[in-house]
Amino acid sequence: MERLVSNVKEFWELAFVCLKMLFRESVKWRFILLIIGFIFVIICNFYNHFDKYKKVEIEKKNILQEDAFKIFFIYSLEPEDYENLVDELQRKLPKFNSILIRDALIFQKNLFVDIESHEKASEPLQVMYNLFDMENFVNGFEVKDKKNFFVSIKNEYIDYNGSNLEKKKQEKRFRNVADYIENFSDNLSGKMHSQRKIRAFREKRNLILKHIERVPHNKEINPYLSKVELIIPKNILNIMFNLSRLSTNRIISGIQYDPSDSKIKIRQKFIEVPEGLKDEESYGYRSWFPRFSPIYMKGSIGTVKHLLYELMKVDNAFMEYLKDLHSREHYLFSYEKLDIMQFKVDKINSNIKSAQRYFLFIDLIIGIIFPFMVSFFSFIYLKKEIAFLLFHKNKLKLILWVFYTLPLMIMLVLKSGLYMIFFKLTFVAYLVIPLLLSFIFASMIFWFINIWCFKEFFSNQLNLYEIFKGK
Amino acid sequence: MRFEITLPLTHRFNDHSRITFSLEDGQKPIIFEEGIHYLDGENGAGKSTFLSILSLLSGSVGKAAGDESGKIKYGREAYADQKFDYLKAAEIRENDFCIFSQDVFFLPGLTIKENYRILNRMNDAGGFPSDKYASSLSGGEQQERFIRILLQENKKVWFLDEPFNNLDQRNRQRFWELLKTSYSESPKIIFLIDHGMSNIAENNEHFILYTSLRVSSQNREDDPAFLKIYSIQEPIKFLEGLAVGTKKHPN
Repeated sequence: MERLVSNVKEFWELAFVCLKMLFRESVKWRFILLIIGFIFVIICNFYNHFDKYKKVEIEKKNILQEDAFKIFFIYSLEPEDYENLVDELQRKLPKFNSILIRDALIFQKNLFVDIESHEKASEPLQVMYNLFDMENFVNGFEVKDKKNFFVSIKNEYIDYNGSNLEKKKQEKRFRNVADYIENFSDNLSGKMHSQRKIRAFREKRNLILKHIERVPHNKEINPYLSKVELIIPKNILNIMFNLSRLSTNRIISGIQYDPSDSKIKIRQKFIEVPEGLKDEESYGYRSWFPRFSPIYMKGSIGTVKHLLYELMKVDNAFMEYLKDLHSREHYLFSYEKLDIMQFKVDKINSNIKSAQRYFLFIDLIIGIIFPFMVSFFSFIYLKKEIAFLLFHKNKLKLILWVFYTLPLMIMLVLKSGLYMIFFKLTFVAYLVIPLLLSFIFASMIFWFINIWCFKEFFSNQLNLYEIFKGK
Repeated sequence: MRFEITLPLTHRFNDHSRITFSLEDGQKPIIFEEGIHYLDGENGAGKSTFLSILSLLSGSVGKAAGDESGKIKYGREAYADQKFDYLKAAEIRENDFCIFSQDVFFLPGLTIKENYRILNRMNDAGGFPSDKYASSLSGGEQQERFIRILLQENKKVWFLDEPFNNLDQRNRQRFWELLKTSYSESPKIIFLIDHGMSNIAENNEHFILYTSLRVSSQNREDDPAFLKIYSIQEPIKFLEGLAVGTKKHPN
């Protein structure tokens, strides 16, 4: 123990002496320039890395926030098919932390979706609104009356991808949808026994369909859902279903249209999903087949930590399940989306890894070159002094150890100091382990380089006299 | 302690240059024991090289020593022994050798006191002021401090290669006094080179020629130099004479 303390003391004394000699007047600026050069290279490397980090993080964030990668529309040919699917999904989706959205469906390329206020809408439904840029539409859809029983709702639909079409084509597309709605309502009225009631019911239906207004979608169309033509509030179907259950008088009084602001005044509960249908598997209007039903999967793409960053990870089990459904004729509305997701994730992961590799590789090279330069510099400018010292003292191992640890300590202090000063601690925390590994690896390589630098002193071919004399 | 040298002794500087010390008459070992050994010879006669080999500053040791390079034995340590290496050499230098090698040299950027502490004793200031740098002293003063730093009385062998450059008469006498005192207390093997003494070596009663080495190098194969080694008789008396500046002093 005493010997260890003595060795440590001697080490620091010799290190101090060596540093003093390196900082002597004739040499110090060269040594300082070497250190400044090192600092410059570290900063350049780190900024380059930080720049790449920012870019790749933005790309990653965009993908993680892409709602199209959270909602998948699954095809069903007919009601039985749909019911079997729902049955299967109810069993399997919880394993994936996923859920079937029963408030929406795509029928004949048109999305029918329940419009619910922000407070009432579930998270999947909100994601759906977000996906189709419907927030403003949803927010302005419903205005509560003072009495609270009635609401005023906008009588509008969204023309999602038809903004550039001729007006005639736009009207024709809506006409097709209106026909489906008429058929739907006719089915409902077909069960009515009173002609008066049927007339009243159809009158209200016509009122809605006649005055419904087209809202063009002027924003960028989500490329994964560009096939969707119109977005129709499914509340219209709810209204018809609810009305069909009322008496004639209540049908007449339960819904009013104000042409001045294109709004329908109606009892609030009539726009909601009809009582008794919410829990039924066939909920969603049995006659509307084939249809695509949405599945919400929040974690289809997640993240896993990898050295400096978080890599992205596709939930492969879920993807395999979707592919399996697809192969069993439950087609995906946009099957290519699965491949695109995987492609994008692979690309970003590859960018992340390449940025990491580049940064750590450069860090490793700097970590080897800088101590090598210091060691070599020390040998060049101190070899006469070291030779002279060795005339009188047996400090061979200590000198080797000093010129091994001194550059490493300088490097460690400079690097950690720079990172702590210029960058956030949380960000640096990500770097600690890989940088430490890089440092250890560089130190291992530098051990041999340092021996090589000072090998003239570590040879049985003694030449201290020649070195001292500069021969 | 003693040195036992089997000649010829060859030292290779690199692949192209070498120097060989050999005896004119036979190859019997030469032995240096306690006492003062004065090396004399013209410039280029290899005096400093010879000392640098003996003092383990140059030459091949251990596994690097070839058969043709001669053999040096210091006490029980044979330089060419397979177990001998540069670490052992450093150990011997630190423990036994005091080496004064021509030029005054201080570790740069350090004060004289710091030089003393690192080269001589770690925990002793040696009576030097803490803020004096060598550059602030004259050549003679530097040499005087340098001698004080390097010479350690407890060491068994002193290699003194021209220690008098820049010393004035007073300081030379002080040096001889130091040498005399130290030698009286513990006799040593002292190797001395001083061009100032060469004029009197041949005729002085104290100087007995011990051996004359033939020195050849690749540049002087046909015109070898000779390195004469004198043993100083009655060394204390000799040093005393030098210390008081008597008529025996060469200068």
